[in-house]
Amino acid sequence: MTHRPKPAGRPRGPLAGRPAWLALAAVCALGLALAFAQGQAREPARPGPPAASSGDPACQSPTVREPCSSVTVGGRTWRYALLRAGAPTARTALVDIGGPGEAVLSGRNGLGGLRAAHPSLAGRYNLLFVEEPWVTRAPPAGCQDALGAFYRAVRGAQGTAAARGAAVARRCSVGAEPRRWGFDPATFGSVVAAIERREGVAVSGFVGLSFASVRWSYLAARPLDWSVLLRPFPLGARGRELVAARAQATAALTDAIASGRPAPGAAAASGGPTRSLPVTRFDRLSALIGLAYLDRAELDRLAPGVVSGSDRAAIGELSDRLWLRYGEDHISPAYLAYLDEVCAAAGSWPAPRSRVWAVADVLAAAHLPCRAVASRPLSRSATGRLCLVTSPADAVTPEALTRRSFPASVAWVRSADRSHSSFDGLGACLKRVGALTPVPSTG
Amino acid sequence: MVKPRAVAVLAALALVAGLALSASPAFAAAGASAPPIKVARFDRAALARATQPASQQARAGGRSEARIARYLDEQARSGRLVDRGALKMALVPSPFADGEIGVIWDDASVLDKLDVFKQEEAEQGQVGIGAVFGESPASAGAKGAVAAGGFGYGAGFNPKGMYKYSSGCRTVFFNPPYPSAEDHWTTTCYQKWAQSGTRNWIYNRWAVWTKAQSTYTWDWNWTVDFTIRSRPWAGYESRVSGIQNWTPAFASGNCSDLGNVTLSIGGASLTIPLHKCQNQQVLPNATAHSMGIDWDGTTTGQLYLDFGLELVAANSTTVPIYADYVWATVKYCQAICAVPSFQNLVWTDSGW
Repeated sequence: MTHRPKPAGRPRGPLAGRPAWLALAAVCALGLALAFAQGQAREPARPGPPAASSGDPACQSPTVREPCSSVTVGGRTWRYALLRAGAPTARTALVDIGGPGEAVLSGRNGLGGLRAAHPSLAGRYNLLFVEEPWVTRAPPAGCQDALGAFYRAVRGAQGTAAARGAAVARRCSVGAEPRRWGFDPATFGSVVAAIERREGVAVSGFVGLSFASVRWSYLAARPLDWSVLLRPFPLGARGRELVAARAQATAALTDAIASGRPAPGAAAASGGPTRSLPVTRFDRLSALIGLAYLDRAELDRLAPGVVSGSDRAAIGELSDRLWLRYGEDHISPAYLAYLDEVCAAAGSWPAPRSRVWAVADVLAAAHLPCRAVASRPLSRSATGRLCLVTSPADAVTPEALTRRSFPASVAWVRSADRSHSSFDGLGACLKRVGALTPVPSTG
Repeated sequence: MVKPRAVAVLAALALVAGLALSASPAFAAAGASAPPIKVARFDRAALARATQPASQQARAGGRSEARIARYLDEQARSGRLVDRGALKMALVPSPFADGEIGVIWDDASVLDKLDVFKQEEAEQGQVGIGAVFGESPASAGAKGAVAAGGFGYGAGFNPKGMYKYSSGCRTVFFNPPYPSAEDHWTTTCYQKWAQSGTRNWIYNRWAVWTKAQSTYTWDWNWTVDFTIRSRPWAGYESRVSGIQNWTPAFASGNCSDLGNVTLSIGGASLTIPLHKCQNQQVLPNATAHSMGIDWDGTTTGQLYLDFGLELVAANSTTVPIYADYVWATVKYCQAICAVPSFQNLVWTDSGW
């Protein structure tokens, strides 16, 4: 179904099929034309009006919906967004929205909205966001198939799930150094330094949500004036502790929803007619874990139907979002970024029980590839002033584990908001670390 | 885009070069009277016949499968996870050549029209394509919108006082009229945001256009027009009582300058990324409750257009339903030549 025959060998040109003398004459004429074209006649082939483009070619694919520039470090291209402060300044805060597995330049996270919501920060500091490398990297041969096989094995509670998980780590180079999909301590600092040089800015502050605490630890070797970590991932926690704590927190959240009255406007139960896969118990358990990521409005709207099991469409969608499933059994490379960094950040991951499925089993299954990846200790040495926001109701980063990860001497702010997405407490913490005090302009 | 000096220079060259160059068709039409314009339309019924769920498309590794995979992967890397079961694909034969035109979409949309035009003479010319989509009234917003993805420890930022009611993306692709291993490819998306319990909505629309490159370095081709528009879906105009604001307010800056613009309505606000581009015309129409952006110029690069529209619905229980249109024109010639001097065709159809 092609428009015209594609060249199998020698390309078809405008002179094809004509006598040899004609081709020779044409080549001579072409040379004359090209020589002339170097001078005044070049214009026709390169039209005059200002050409539009999306700027940096590295930002064209995959497309972005945020400001985008790029630097090359270690032979690899790294994309980033630098949202400049209102008045020119070199002072810059590195903002990390966590993950791993976030496409920070996709527009989904609304970086401009974050800036607009915190004018006191954005007015004083340029805001720097660095994109995780998985967004622009293609999976090696066999990796996508390994991911699909692993997902099917876990869905079906098959005994092969552990072996399939190990195959994912092997075929997809999870945990390799330098990391293929996620950030690593050595490279992350170099990328930030390269951006500073290119843009003429100096990163002196750090605002991080959740897993950003790990990225913050990657920067231990460089000085920072202040850092704010919102609902931080507990540095130094073991995989077993994380799975147990998340399962417990998910149960608490589910119980709270089940005992509450459906909120006004709660979504009506519906099927999921367009989903490629049937909605199963596996999906329901996965969806319960996924509830913790919803903001308050979405939680009120969707949670009753998910907990009761009546809203099969929402269950299917939440499950797919948790597992990053698309197409049929394709898993987004965002999951590889998650494994790349999380497996290394916390070792000792538990195995799921076979055929007895509970929330803890789903969480354990998701980390099966980690059992083939070595962990590495994270630095917890803080430079500058540090403030943390935690919530007793957060089901993704349980407060008790987080509190154990950081010294009691740092500033703490407690938030009542149960959504892991919440930036509640950021303003209070910025004041505690002195990020909003007037600073002489550095030009 | 007529360039008399360039045409004169090349004409002189052709004379000097003699028969060889005068036989090269790329020069034949320069300055000549414009060849006729051929136009074809595929209406909703014809497109419905050409539409299949993507799950039923051949999976033997053909071009359809590659295009579906490209669409799914593109979306996944932008943080949108699309189930193949929700995908549809329409394929129609190109009316003026051997190629095909295809559309892939992943939401409860209706593919309403596909318009194609071509103007060609002696291997140079221009080709344009336009598509119209509507949000299916029966299912508008029924899927809801769920944030977050993955087991990860992180989350996005939520707009103040608004929630995403529905969203969708569509891709239109077609073979270029010149030798190429690629398709022309445009993806256009919308997001519909609501403020609970009010009449306030924000409609955010954007589109990316990537032109197919020619197989041969001596072929030239340029995008000369890229336009997106949105307006109330036919039959549902009464659901919108007015538009309060829109962005961009006017064209300025350049395409590499992407900024964020905040639209505020009734105490809620939404900040949307906005590419600013030269050669743009902003097309708001307060009476028709419509908005658009028309880029005209000459480029070989990728193009990105986006706008936001603040809507006031007829009442607090009414859901506005919009139709979207996307249009692109490419001029081309094979071998060394000037930009074809044919006048740009404007899609004047008022019935989209």
